[in-house]
Amino acid sequence: MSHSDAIAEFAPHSWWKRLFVTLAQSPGLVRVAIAWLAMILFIALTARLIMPYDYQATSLLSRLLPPGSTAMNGDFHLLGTDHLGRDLLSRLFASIQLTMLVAVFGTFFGAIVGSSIGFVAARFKGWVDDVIMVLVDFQASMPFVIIALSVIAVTGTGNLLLFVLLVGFQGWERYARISRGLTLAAVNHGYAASVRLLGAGTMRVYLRHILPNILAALIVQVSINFPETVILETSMSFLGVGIQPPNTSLGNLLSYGRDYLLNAWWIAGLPGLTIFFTTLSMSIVGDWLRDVLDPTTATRPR
Amino acid sequence: MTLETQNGHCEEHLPLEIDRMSITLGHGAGLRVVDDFSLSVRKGEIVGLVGESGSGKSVTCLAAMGLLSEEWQIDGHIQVANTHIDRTTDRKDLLSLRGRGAAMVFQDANASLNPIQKVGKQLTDTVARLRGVSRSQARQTALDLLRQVEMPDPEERFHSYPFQLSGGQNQRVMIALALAGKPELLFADEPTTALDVTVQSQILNLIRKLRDETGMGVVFVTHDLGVVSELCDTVAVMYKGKLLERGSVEQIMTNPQNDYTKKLLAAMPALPHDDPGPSTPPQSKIADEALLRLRNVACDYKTRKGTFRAVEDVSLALRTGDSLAVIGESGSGKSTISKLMLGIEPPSEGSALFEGEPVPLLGTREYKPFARKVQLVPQNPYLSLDPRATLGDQIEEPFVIHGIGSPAERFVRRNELLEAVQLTPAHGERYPHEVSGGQCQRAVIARALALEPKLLICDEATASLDVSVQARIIELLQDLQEKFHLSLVFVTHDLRLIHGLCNRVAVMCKGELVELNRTDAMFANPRHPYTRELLAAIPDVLSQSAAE
Amino acid sequence: MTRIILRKLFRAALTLFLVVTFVFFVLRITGDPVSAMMPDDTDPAIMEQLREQWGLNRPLGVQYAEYWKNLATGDFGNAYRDGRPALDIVLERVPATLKLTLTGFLFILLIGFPMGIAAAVNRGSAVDRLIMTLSVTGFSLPNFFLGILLILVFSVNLRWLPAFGSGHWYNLIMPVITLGTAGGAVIARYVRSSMLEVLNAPYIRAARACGMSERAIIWTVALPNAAIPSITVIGFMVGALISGSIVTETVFAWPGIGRLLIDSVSSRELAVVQTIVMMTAASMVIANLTVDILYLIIDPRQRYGTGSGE
Repeated sequence: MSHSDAIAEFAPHSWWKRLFVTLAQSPGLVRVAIAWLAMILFIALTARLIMPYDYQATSLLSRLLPPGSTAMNGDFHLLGTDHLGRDLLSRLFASIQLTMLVAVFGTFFGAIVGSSIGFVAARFKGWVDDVIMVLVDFQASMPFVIIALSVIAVTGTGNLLLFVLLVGFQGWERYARISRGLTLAAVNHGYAASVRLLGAGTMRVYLRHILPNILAALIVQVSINFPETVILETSMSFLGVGIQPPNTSLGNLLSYGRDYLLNAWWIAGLPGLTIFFTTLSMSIVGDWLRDVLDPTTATRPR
Repeated sequence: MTLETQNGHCEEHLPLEIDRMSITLGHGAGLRVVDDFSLSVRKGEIVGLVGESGSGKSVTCLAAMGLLSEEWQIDGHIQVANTHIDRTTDRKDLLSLRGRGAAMVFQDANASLNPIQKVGKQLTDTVARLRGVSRSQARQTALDLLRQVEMPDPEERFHSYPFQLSGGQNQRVMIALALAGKPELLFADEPTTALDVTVQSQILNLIRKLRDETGMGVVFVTHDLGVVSELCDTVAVMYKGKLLERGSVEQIMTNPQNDYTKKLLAAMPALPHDDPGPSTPPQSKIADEALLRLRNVACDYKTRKGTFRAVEDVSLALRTGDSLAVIGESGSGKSTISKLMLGIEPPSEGSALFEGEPVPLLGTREYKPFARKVQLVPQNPYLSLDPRATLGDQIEEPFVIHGIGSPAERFVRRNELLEAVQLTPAHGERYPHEVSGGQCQRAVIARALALEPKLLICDEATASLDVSVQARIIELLQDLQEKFHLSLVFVTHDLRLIHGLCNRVAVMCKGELVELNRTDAMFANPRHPYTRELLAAIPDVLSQSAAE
Repeated sequence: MTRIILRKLFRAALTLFLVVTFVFFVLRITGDPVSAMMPDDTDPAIMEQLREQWGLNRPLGVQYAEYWKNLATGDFGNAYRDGRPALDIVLERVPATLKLTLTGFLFILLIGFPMGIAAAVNRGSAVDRLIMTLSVTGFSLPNFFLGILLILVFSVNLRWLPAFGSGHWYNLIMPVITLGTAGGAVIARYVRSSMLEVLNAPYIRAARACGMSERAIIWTVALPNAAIPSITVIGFMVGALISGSIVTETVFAWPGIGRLLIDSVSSRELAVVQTIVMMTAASMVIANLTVDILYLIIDPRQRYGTGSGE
């Protein structure tokens, strides 16, 4: 009774209108998180335009300057400089751009590949399903970093495209599980069976009825997977087996900064905080999305 | 054994006294769930608390047990077994009340027992706690309690986990748990609703027997007036949180004062009494040749433990214009029969023929034309509709699938169909979760009728609905059968629904067809012993009211 | 029950088989190990000689069989740099990693379970909100950054703990916190949600109706039921500990397998890498088997199979 009431309250007719309404009703913390993500996204899109200096330009005379200092040549460094005298703000922008590129591209690559695999398993069943599920179990029982590292050990570092694909594969087995499970559930129960009994073909059932119904769960999974992808990429770059110079990711910045903790905390601290705030924002937004999108947990405001 | 101690003292208070109680969800101007409700229960009295879903009957019991969480606000006077219940009631007093003063059994017995503990241990722990006796004594008492609730093989069941027992057996364990503290009052919240009729009648007998033995008062919550007239001494009728009427069973059944009670009584499905003749539909329009024929069909399901035969050697025929009831308890294979007729399951042996042709299997090419002739109305309307599409779009969907009509024509047809099932075009714009269960089921029926099928199969189509809604859906089906010249297969566990709707009846038991008969003949003179047992087990409102 | 165990054993064997096959094909298909390991300007004749020596010119099937034979005899190949058996190189790093991961495991359980239970029992209260905030923060904090923060605060500024070294118990403190925080945060959330699910189950209400005290319900009914799904997370945790130890060991210069793996990937010591991958797989398989068997012991429904007794 209270359950269906809660949903009914939540159901203006268009999906976008509903999203807008829920956004307007979202808690303050969620809005802060969304604002941070919007800023990061803006920086990622415009990094080359808004960076004050060339992020690769070194200057031995202005090494390790603290934030807010002016170099001897008159350049102002808002966030200071690193051990080679490069402007940290510009490097931060460039790193945000690459980190976000890898995360966004990787996440969607993994989501689409994983979900499709799960969909195929549920669609064809039989031995196709068996083989896919064995692979899914295998992946689930191996830490992904280990797999990624062993591939990189063979191919060597420095191949950006390969790295993006590799990072993107992270979590594919969870998408596969979710889309397979939901598809099977949807096919075997209720409305899908009803539509089939009306004489509908398989494609109609899958595309018109099942996909829209499992989409919410997949979107929630994307929001869980995205911060993990950011952390995987930055970890590997931090360890020196990810993004290679002259490209730079937030993980690389942190890795350089580690050697200067004693006298220049900002080199490691600022990129670290950037990663942290980004993953934190994404987790907060993800939690909120899960509450909004999943009617079974839509117990009204806490 | 427990009788003397029970009646030794306490003549001064009643087991339950509720005076002008109101219950609100949320503080301040919250949702008022129970409004100005009064009820008292004497020793040894069984009070039936009757109402449809949302009437506040379960909440009333939970409030009296002090089991409502803090977001519920309770006003008025409640006294249970000498304990006052209100916001200031001490936690300790509540704890000592529950189990000793009053106990409660719930609808879903399977889920109400700790799933990872043996029932014997659960019983022993509870006895030890409530009676303060040693563990060995408690163990002995626990076994005695299992015997008292007539558990078959109590010594063996003592070491079973709840998932190893049937629903009826688990309900017996729940009742034994409730008796562990020798309560003065027992709340039974729809304890038999999830059970088969034959099991239900055993549990009802058990509750009556225990009342006689212990002298406890019982509040029996149910939506089924048949159960009430079978078991209870007095009845209280609730509607939207209010007490409408209270009186002895005879009074309420024969001479109800309140309009709602009268409506509820009229909606109650009842067995035909004395003269079932005129209520059976006329036979004139029934053709001779079979529309649908099952010929020695059997159906196997594969499980982990091997194959399980759900249906064995069933033969029956359905003529155009026939309406056939398929009756059975859970596990009887009645749903499998409907799956065989719909081509959802292939017959493992024998054949299912529709208009002389084998029924095509769902998902094959031949299915699409077949779908225009045979349609299903399943049990749960919310599950059979896509939650993300409007009712109207889903009613139009069959036209889209089969490429019938232009969008404008489809829209007209959709509104005609909505009207045929007594909905308005405005309902077509709604989503399933925005309408009630009954309206949703009407939309499902409209969708099933869109292709103008020859045969409509209703699989427990009213089982998840309230009685008054159920009665109206049955009326609607009768009406539509006439209007659309439908043949009907009506699968149900409830024998009371079928007279007036079905002219023939097939009784299933453990996968076999035990009786195939004309409906009136079956009621008047059941041939098979199982049918007789089934008829005897069905709780029925008093014959006077049915005759009236 | 024996059938269930047999099936689990079969799955474990299948996983190990897949790992070996995966490693073999990654090594042989995605690149030529010789050109991968040797500097680019190596004399082609020497490369050819090496291929001959390692049997890389033979048919793939033969190589695959050979590979299995070597593994079965404990031959994981030799390190390129100093020619020592890769297995020896890895094994001497095992104790350090075990010390770190086992302590981390305890740390995860000790913060995860109590926090999850406390949050569920006090649902909606300030305690719940605080724990959930800590949990979200915990698993959003990348462990390499956490490690650096700890060094910055406790070694650089406060000078309470040494940033490097592994000889004393206090050397473990910062690495263990770095390793366990994310896992503990995940466990806390998981325990909270399974506890909440159980607390909403009908049998909890029924237990209340039988006069059981709230405390008894939580400890004797809710917790055992909630612990069952939480066991699954242990398998996941072993994986998280292994991946976490790579970063942790690098940040704190801990002489374990994780750092060895990174060094070997950078210097392309393929024999060492493959040994570590297989050892990881073996420990994951053992962890998952343990979880499955624990399940069978704790959950009677698994033991008897959930099918109704008919």
